[in-house]
Amino acid sequence: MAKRVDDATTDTVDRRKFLKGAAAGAAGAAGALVGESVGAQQSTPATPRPTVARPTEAAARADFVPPEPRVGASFIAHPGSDYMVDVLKAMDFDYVAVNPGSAFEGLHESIINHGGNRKPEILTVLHEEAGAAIAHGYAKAAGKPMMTLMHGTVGLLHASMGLFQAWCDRVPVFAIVGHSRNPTSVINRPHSAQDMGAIVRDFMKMDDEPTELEVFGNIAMRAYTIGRTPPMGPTLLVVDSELQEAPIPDPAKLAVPRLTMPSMPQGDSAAVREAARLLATAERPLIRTGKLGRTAAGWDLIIELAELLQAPVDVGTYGSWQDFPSWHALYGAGGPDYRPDVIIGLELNDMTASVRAVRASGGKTISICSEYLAQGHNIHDFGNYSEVDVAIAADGEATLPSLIEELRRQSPSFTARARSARGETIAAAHKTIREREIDDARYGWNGSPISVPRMIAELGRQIQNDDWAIVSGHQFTGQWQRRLLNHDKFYRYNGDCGGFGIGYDTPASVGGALAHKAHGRLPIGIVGDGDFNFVGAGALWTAAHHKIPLLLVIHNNRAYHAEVMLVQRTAARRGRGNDNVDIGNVIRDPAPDYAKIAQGFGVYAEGPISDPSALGPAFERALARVRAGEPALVDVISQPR
Amino acid sequence: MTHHWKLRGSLGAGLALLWALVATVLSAQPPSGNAAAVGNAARGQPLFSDTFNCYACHGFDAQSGERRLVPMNYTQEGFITFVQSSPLPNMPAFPDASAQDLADIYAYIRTIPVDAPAVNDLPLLRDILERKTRAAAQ
Repeated sequence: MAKRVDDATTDTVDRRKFLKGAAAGAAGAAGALVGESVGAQQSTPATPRPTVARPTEAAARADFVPPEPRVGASFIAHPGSDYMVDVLKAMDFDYVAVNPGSAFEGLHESIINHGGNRKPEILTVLHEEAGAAIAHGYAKAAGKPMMTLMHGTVGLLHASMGLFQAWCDRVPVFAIVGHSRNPTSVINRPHSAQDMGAIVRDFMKMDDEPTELEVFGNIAMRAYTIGRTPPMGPTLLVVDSELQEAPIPDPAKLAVPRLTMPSMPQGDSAAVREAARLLATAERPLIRTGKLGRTAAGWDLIIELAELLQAPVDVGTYGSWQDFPSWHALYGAGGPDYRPDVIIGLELNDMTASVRAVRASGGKTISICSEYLAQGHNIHDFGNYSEVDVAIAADGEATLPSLIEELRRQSPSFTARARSARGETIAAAHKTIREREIDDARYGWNGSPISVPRMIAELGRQIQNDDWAIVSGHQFTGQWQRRLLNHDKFYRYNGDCGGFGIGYDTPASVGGALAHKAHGRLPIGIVGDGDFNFVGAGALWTAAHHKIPLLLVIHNNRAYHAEVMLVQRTAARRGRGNDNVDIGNVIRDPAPDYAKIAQGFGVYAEGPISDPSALGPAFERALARVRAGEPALVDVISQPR
Repeated sequence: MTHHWKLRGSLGAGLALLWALVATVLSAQPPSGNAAAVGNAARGQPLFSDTFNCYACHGFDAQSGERRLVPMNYTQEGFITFVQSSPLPNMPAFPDASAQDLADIYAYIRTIPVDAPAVNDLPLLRDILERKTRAAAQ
């Protein structure tokens, strides 16, 4: 203990010296800014010149506000944050994304020293939004949550967009915000809040602020289990810095709660029986999926259901997670002539279009969706109320086993021939569609900028013998990823952002890549230039720093292209011409050089590449780096879509 | 800054049918002033790329976008009428666009060569199609 007191004394003296030095340095730097060298000052001492006043030591000290005084300035053997880390270890976190801050320095120190920086290991992030998005992408690829730590109001506000996307995507992120509940310094006052959780409460499954360590253990377990129970979502703990710092009153009496995960909610048996009856007697059933197939078992179940019914599986366009093998004959809506008479939606939170499609002809609709279990919230992301015929409030994946079992029981053998014939008709339609799609892909094949299908096809050629995983979304590449890459495993595609906000794809790719690293998979993110420009570059540094293998392909159309089209449409509707629609929408003059940016963060990069014949070799070189365990970037000058 | 998108793909088959109907009607219309304008391809290029920003949806090469314009299968008259009064939700109508400007764009599009080698001449695409076919048969 004595040594620590001595250290503190020494530290005080050193800080004072530092402040003196800083003030002198600042004055010197100011001199340099007005164009005067030290030598020039010495040779012309009497000449008046513009200068910057050297601050007094008192003024310099006022600028460098020391940290908050902590409870018990002396040695603390068992700080509360040690217990917090013990609780967090019980949840089996592998990583925690951290952008450091003074409101959680106690927890930070306990993670790296008491916890040995293992489970969780700190992942240094350069922006809290990137931290939340990394945790978001990681959770989908790993099948379990990641932690993210933030500092006060400012950290939470930075992270809020990433947490919002996780909420809309129904993905658990375990967030902790450090809070100086009783701030005394000028800095931490605005970083403190009367109700910290209120800042993000509209898109968190729960938030709470424990006031005692025993309560921390209880609330942490609740946040973890609630976040992972469908409909899943991010949860927030607000942790007072004094609670982190204060010694544990009686360590022997403070137990870590045992984690017991609840089972997933399954559908009511009578309702499942009725759903099976409708499907078994349908002439043209159609399966529509939302956020389904998040595990290997779930992936197999949806294939089993589709093949049992010989029903097509329509995964929709935006927003889906891993859902159905994209080259399977039953992938799609069955072709233009397939008129479904029964539609089952699995984790599809809005069945309105399905109801409209079949109701007039007497068709039926079934919904199995955990959204029915959601509590009220402010964000309008829960879809419309739909007048389905059977509504089952349950998790889709968890209910599939009983639905399949019931379907097998109810399907009489004489319908087997009808189902087989249906499958053949759908397969024939699939053949026509896939040939047309490949035919479409060849247009603009040799053009520059490079067409999106050429970009995807060139990438596909390079990875066809790898165990790859697309860790970004696909919305900016249309349907070309699913058309040209065989999504034949549940982890091939990590899904879109959920909230349709820019800035997710790059950091979430880093998070997804981190999860796949443990399995030796080859992660690839295909991200828009607009997305990369948000917090992407910093996220790439995180990948470089932590040696996370990831190929990041910049689909660089040098614009916020959706908005080009939207403003164009609006201008046309108003009859005002279209020659101004680039204003505010394009990213040119100058065009950013993303390869140089990546190189500046220590990442191997190539580009910009606008010659399609140069693309394959560039991918090959970059992928060699990724296979060796590091991130790489290829900037592709591409057609808008 | 957050961006929102319209869900364009969901209208799929219905739009294709509507497009086909519109195209049929327009291509069958009798000649009018729109047919009389003589297009200037050189003038049409900047109109396509910069003034009307047609590239935004149709690609810089008029064939990489969501609706291919190359090869151009419509008459000049049908093209002009359609652009001025498009009923499609994804294709804005340009009622104030002059027939001359649109004739110039039409002339420019007609000069753009089709860049679409046959699938059999593209080993990369041919291989994908073969593998897709095998996957669908499993």
